[in-house]
Amino acid sequence: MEKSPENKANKRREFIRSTARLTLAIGIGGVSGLALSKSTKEEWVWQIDPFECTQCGRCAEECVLTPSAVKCVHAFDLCGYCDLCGGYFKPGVIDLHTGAENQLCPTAAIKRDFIEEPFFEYTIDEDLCIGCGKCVKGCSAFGNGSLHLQIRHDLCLNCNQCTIARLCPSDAITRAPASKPYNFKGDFTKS
Amino acid sequence: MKKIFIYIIVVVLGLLILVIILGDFMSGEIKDKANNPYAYEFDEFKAVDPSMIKFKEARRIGLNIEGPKAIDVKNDLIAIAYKDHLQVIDSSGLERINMPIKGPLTAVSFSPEGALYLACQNYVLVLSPEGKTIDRWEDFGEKTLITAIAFKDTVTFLADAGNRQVIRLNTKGEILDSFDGTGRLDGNYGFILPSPYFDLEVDPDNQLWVVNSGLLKVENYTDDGAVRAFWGKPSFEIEGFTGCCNPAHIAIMEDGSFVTSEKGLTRIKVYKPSGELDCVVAAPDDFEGDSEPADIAVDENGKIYVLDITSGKIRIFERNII
Amino acid sequence: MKNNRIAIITFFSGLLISVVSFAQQRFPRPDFESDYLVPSPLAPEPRWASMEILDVVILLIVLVLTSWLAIKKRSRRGILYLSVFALIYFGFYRNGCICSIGGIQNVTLTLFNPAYAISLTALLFFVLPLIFALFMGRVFCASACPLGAIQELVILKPISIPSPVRKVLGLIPYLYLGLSILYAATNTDFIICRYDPFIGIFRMDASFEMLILGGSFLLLGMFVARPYCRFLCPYGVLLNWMSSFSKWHLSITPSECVDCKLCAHSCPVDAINKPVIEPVSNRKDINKFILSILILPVLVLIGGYIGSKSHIYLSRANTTVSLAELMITQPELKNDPDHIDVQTFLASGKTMETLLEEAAVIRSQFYYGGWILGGFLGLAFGLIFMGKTIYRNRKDYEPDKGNCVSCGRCMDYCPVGKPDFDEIMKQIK
Repeated sequence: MEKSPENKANKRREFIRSTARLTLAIGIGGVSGLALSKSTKEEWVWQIDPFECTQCGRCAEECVLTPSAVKCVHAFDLCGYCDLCGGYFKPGVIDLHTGAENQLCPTAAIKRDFIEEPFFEYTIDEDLCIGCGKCVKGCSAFGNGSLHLQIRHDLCLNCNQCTIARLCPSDAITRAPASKPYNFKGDFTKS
Repeated sequence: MKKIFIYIIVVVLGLLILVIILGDFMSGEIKDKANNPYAYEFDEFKAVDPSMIKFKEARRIGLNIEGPKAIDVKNDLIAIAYKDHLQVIDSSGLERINMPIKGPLTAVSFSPEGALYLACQNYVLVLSPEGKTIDRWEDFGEKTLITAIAFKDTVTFLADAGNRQVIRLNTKGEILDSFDGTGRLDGNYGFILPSPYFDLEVDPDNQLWVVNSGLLKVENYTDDGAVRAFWGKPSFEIEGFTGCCNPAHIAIMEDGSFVTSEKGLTRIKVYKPSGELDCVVAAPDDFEGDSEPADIAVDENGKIYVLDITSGKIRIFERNII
Repeated sequence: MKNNRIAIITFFSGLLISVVSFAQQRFPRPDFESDYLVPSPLAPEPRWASMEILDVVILLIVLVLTSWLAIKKRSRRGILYLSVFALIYFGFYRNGCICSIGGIQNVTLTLFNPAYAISLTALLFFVLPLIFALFMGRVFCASACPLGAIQELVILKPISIPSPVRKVLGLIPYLYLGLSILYAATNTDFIICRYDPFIGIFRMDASFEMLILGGSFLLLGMFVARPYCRFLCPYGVLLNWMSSFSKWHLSITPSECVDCKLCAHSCPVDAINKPVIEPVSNRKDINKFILSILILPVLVLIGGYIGSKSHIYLSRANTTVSLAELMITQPELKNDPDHIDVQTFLASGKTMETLLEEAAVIRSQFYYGGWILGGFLGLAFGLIFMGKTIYRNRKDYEPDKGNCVSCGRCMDYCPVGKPDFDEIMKQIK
């Protein structure tokens, strides 16, 4: 029985299989070991560098979410609280009244509140904002650039490869460590 | 029979999947996703009636140092303040002074005597015409950000954008007083400066003009800080100023005309002493897109020196001879 | 190269920021006389901030449970329930993203891109199913993979695909694996994620094209079981290798096969090998085997040559290469104010020379990548051909370990060990 040819063949087969298994195990171990030597405990999230962003409008169109997880964020510290806000009013408005025909935002997501003469506060309604960056362009051209686009992580699905990042013409979207998930403009006294 | 039906479905679906994946993949990366439906359009305001343009660009001087900030001109000399350099060249382009200065520099002015006054954020350096440091004036306050220097007799004016005030100094650099522009005619706002553009100039009649950029106006102040007159109206059209804070820079010619430089709609215009638009020097299309507002200076012959910060050039404009 | 570019961009933007910051960042806002408080922008935490560890734990539990259900408990029903759970949790709840299949690209990017480091959870997601496959078979496919689960649930009337067709279509995953590694290594794109047909269904939100793709796969899956797993999934290639040599794999029958043939048609993925009567090993077979070994290097070379020849075509998926090509072939686009990519490039101040240089570097990466990709495909093709020349003596119905996804249907069909059947057998004896 021990020396039957069938048994011999079985043993040989088992040996080949064990060797193959060991080789594969070494393969997995090698690749994952190499990756492990570089790996981080930290997760990655996608974020926009507002200084690279050129407001091409793709954030509104290319995100896998509708509406996009990119929203306009207001760095109040940088805002001039202007009456004639380049990010709020359409270019060329004559009377500064808040009628829809005067508003730049395609979804009327910017709220304008009177603070005191002659200052006005502008806040973004993120439920309405589609992340098109139109107001960002207006604010950067005529104002201080306090409005800027950021990826909102309560919405972002954190795709393995962000579609907008791939199509961003100015390579403004990169992976950021999850511990520093935002690139807000300005200096903030976090409360 | 039924099996054939299934086979047909399978083949059709398989082909459909193939077509979708390959179709998407082979269409290449950059395709017809070209135009931006959310573009911020103000091209109609960029267009300027050519008959309004009465200046032409006579010369360009390329700059060899990064980060130009401010310019002034006097007696054939051009002073350029960079982020951390001062350079003086003559009109032929020959370099007279090139010295590193611990910046960031924010403004430069020739005094009537030809000395160089340099603003470095919150202090002032006084240099001899040869570039030797004569004096250093400081301690103007914590938030100080000096954006312009002008001279009237023995008084030196500093535009302090950080504290939103104009500081008056004596010849030794001691503070005489300061005013915040609240002595206005209508309303009581003072200087509204949403961004650090705050220019002032003294005209040939020894009148001080301060740009209240947040209100889109140029205001004339008495010695004790009261508004005597102002001009300027908000408008996207060519006659007015627009945006949060314009004009960003002004210069005054020998005849009292104002030269203005704007941000957003980067245009250079000349206004008559009355504040009525005279003509256009350079239209927005003369500048690269998204340009920073250009600092400007005028010489005794009415030439306008435009410091094109974005492209790093001095562009000299001359009035067309009719 | 792209990294260099990013580094350079970051460096210059750093410079720029330091210039601009003075003007833009620090300028004090108005001094308000009223008691208005300046708000700070909200910074909501990432959605899954602490869930990644939980994901790994759940994956591990599912894998262990499936292994137990497939090998010890032999419960098709248990495996089915687990796969429903995986579909709901990893699919619909976690929206299909963190995924072992896509992990191939993260590992590749880590190995090739000095700027990127894989997160530990993503690495575990990549490695754990492979280790399990090496010992227990493809238990991951059975009930941990949401893509597998959604296809498993729509199997309606699976048809058997003829072996030659299967073999040819089975080469697609090798191509897909090679391409996805090539594109991840060159930092071009993650194509596995891009063409994931079910992610849109998991998210309940996708482009029209992608919804059609997902729908087609599900419809197709009614008649061709697990079409994505068998004819596309690149991770399936790796799992196939592992599982082929797995130590303990589920068996159709709990003890001795009685050759009842009941299981033969139970397998929806054609992964049951029928018994083979020992073939007489003749001269012709040996010649074929030797030929297949000799032809292997030739196939690798031919594949590599074809791969390298198609590098220009392959590199077009890279945005830098694509832009450079566009600028050369359609220079008139420079005057098109509406073309975002061209205008952004022109406004960026980068010279045409730099762009072309970058594109050339990426292209050369694709040239060498093309050789490797083609060679790999040639090798895969050759090995499959070689496998056809080897006959193995097989007495019973056995699972084809490489292709078996451990769904456990066959175990249900096997009468051995069922009380009624044992009773009858006893009586016969």
